[in-house]
Amino acid sequence: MKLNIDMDSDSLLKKLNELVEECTQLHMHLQRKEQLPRKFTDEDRSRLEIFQGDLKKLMVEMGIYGEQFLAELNNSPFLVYTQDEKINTRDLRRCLKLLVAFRSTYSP
Amino acid sequence: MKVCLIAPITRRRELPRNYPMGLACIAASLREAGHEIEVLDFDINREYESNTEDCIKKINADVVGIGGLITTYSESKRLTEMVKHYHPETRVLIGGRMAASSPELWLEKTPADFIVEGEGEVTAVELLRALELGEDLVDVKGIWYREGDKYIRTLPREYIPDLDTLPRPAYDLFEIDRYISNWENWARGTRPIMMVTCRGCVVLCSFCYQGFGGFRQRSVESFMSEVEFLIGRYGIDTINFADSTLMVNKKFVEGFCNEVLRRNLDLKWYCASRVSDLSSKHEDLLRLMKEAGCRRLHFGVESGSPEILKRIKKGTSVEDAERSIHMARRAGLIVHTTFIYGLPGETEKTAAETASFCRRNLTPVSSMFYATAYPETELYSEALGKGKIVDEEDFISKLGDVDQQTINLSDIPDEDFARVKERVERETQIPIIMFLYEYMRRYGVRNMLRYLHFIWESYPTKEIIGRLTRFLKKSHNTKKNENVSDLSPKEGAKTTKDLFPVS
Repeated sequence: MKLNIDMDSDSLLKKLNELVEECTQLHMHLQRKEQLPRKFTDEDRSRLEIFQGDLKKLMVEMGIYGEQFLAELNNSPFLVYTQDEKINTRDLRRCLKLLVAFRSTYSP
Repeated sequence: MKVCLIAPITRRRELPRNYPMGLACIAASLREAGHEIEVLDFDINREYESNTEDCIKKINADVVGIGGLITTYSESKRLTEMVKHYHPETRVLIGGRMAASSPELWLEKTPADFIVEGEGEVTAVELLRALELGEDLVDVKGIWYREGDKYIRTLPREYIPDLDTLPRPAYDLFEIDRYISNWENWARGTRPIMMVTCRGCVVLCSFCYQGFGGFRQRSVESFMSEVEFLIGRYGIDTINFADSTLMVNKKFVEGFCNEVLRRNLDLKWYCASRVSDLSSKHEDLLRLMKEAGCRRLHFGVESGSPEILKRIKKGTSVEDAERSIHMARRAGLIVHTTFIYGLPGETEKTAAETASFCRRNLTPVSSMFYATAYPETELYSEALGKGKIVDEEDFISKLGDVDQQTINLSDIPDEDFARVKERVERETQIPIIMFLYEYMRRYGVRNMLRYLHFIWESYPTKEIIGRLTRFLKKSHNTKKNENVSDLSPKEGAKTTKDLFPVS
C-alpha cells in the first residue's frame, strides 16, 4: 500500500530521491575504500556528516513518518565496533536499505 | 576442542572439481593450534545428501564450522538449522565468502552463533581459544555474534601480511583424489589441482567483492615446496591457478617458471591475468611461461565498450585487451576470454561493441556471463539504491553462478534483455574454417596446430567426435564461397561454437 505523505509531494519526494542517490554513492565510495583498503579522509567524514544532516532535516520535515524512520534508524540492534580512523560502513548500508524501503512505502 | 567443518554442496548441476580450499586452510590453522578436526564434505560426497540428517546427528563436536560461496546461502542455512536442532549446545561458526557477504542476514535469519569476517585463519583460532577459556568475545577481532538482543561486530581483523606464515592447507582431511578424478572429462589424462599464490587485489571492479584487502603473494620458495608436495603425494601434473591477478607480480611468475624448469618438473598450468598487467616488454616473459608449461592464459575482458570498462572501474582498456590477447597467442599460449553482459550502462550499442571486439580478435564466446549483484559489491549497492533488491534474503537465496540471470542492471529493457544477449553471442561466433584460417594467418601454422592440440587435450574424445561429425554433415550443405575479410557468420554457417566450445 502506498501512503501518500503530504510532502508538497513533489519537492519532498525529489529531496528523498536525491538522498537515496547520495546514500548509494557514498556507500559505494566508502565501501570501496574499506575493501581496497584505502585511508578515509576528512573529506569522506565531512561528506558523511553532510548526508546525515540532510537526512535528519528531511525526515523532520516529513513529520510523523520521518520521525518513525529516524527512531528505527537510531534503534539499531547492531553494535558495530570501528577503529577511530575508520568509518562504519555497515550502519550506512543499513541506512540505505531503510531509506529505500521508506521511499517505497511512502512515495506516491 | 573438537571441531567439525562442513562443506555444503556448491553447484548441484555438476560434480565438484575443486576442493574447498578455504575450509582446508582453516582446518590447517585450527589443527596447528591443537584442535581435533573432522570434515563433513557434502560437496564431494553427494551420496550423503539423502541422509543429511543422519550425518548431522552423528556429529560429535564442540564447534561446527560451515564455509562456502554466497551461492550456498540457502543450503548452508539449512545445515546450520539442522546442526542447532540436533546439537543445541554446539556453537556454529560461519565463514568464507558467504559469511562476509551478509553477516547481518546470518545473525538475523539463522541460528548461527558466530560469523567470521575476512581471512579466517587467525580469527578462528582466537575465537576457539576465547570460547575454551571463557574470555570476553569482544576482544576477538573479525567476528559477529549475538549478545542479548544485540548483534555485535568486533573490530575488523587485520589482513595477514605474510602468507608464507600460514600452514599448508589440510589436504589430508579432504578426498583430493575424488576431486581430481572429477576432472576426467575436462582435462584428458591429467591430474589437475587448484592452487592460489595471492590474496587481495590491486583494483576493485564494481562487480567484485574484495574481502581480502590489498594484494599479497606467497614467496616462490614456499609455493614450490607445496607444488612438490602435491606432485609427490597426489601425482599432480597440472596446476589451475585460481588467482585472478597472478601476473601482477612478474618477479613471482618469472621465479616460478625458472624453478619449474630448473627442477625439471613436467607440469602443465593454466592461469589468469588482467589485460593491463601485460605490456609489449613482457613478450619474453610469456615465452618463458610457455616453456615452463603454461598452456592457457585467461583474460577477463568483460566488455568491448570503452564506456562500460570505465564504468566498472577495472582500470583496463579495449587496447590493453587486444594487445595482451595477441601477445599471448604469438608466444604460443591459448587465450581464454570472458565477458560480462548487462552491466550498468549496457545498451544494445555497447553490447554490439563487445560482439565486434570478439570478431576482430577471434575470441568467440560460448556464453557470456550475466552481470550479477553479489553482496558487498558496488553493483549490489547500486541495485539496493535503485530498489531492485526488495527482500535481501530472498535475493541472496536465489543467487547462482554468473551464467544464471538474477537481475537486470543494464539500460536494456527487461523484455529485450535475453534477445540482445542471444544476438551478441550469435554475432561473436565465427565460421570455423574462417577461424582456423585467420588464426593461422595471424599467429602461424604452429600456433594454430597448438590450438587444435589444446582442444584435443581439453575435451573428451566423444564430445569432439560428436561435434566434428555434426560439423562435417552440415558442411556438406554449406556454400564454399565465404569471404575471408568478413568474419561474421553467414546464415547456416558452421561456427566455432558448433565444433567446440572455444571460449
